[in-house]
Amino acid sequence: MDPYDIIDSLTIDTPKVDFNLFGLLKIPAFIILFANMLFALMMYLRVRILSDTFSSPDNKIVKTVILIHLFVTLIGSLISLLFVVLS
Amino acid sequence: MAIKEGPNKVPRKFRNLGKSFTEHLQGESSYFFMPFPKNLSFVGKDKDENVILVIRTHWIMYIRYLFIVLFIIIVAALISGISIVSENPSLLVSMWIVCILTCLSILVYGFIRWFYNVNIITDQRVIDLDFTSALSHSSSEARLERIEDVTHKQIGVLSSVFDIGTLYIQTAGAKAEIEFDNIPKPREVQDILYDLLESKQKGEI
Repeated sequence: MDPYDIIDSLTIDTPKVDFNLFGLLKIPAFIILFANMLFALMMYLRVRILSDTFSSPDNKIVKTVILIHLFVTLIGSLISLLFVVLS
Repeated sequence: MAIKEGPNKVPRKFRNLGKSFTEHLQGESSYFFMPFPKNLSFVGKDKDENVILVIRTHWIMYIRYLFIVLFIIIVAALISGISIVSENPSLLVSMWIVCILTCLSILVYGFIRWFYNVNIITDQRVIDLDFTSALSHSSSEARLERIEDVTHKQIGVLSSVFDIGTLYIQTAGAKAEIEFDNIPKPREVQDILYDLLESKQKGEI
């Protein structure tokens, strides 16, 4: 038997280890985005309760801030998810 | 000493008591130390109840959130330098959006925590509202006649530089004490409370 054939038979079926670093970087991005959205929602709900417990003239500002935060987080997360999927 | 006329003018009811605490309630009002606030209410407030002082934790205690944000930005900038990320524009943009959203959440959380970590002193009671996390908050209150002891502690460099400290209000019974954490002017607040307790015991308020 030709020695080259022996070498070929040894190397052809060697399984290739494909390490995808992109995929590895996407996982924490997904987790952080999901956690951010959940956090923004929980903050909004908590502020809604607290504004009833303690009411001051500045409550409107706080409610506006938290609503803008929720809106920006949701929109930003969706855009980011789109980029993560495209990458 | 003459009482100054100002936006936080001491009501006649308290001026006539002739106590020293009214002196601490004059001067500039801030979001951290707000004497006689207007249009402020809370759950269970009686109609004839006067809010004397609203105190919030000193702003220096929230400066750590800025450091956390700075740390996240530095980490994100370092990650952007890695070739595998910098060569992929979509991944780079997405990573910076994640970074900005996280920083924004931290700053908003710090602001909300500051706003709702509030301590209220009225002529009837003391209230301690704590925003502990996005998932929990707590509220403790004690009527003035139930207060047995008021102690303040100022520990550390920050307390010396910014005149901040923690006030411990011990009430009768087995109930845990109320804490006003890292408030500005703790000695003045202690004096205010002692004068109010004395007036309450004498039936003046």
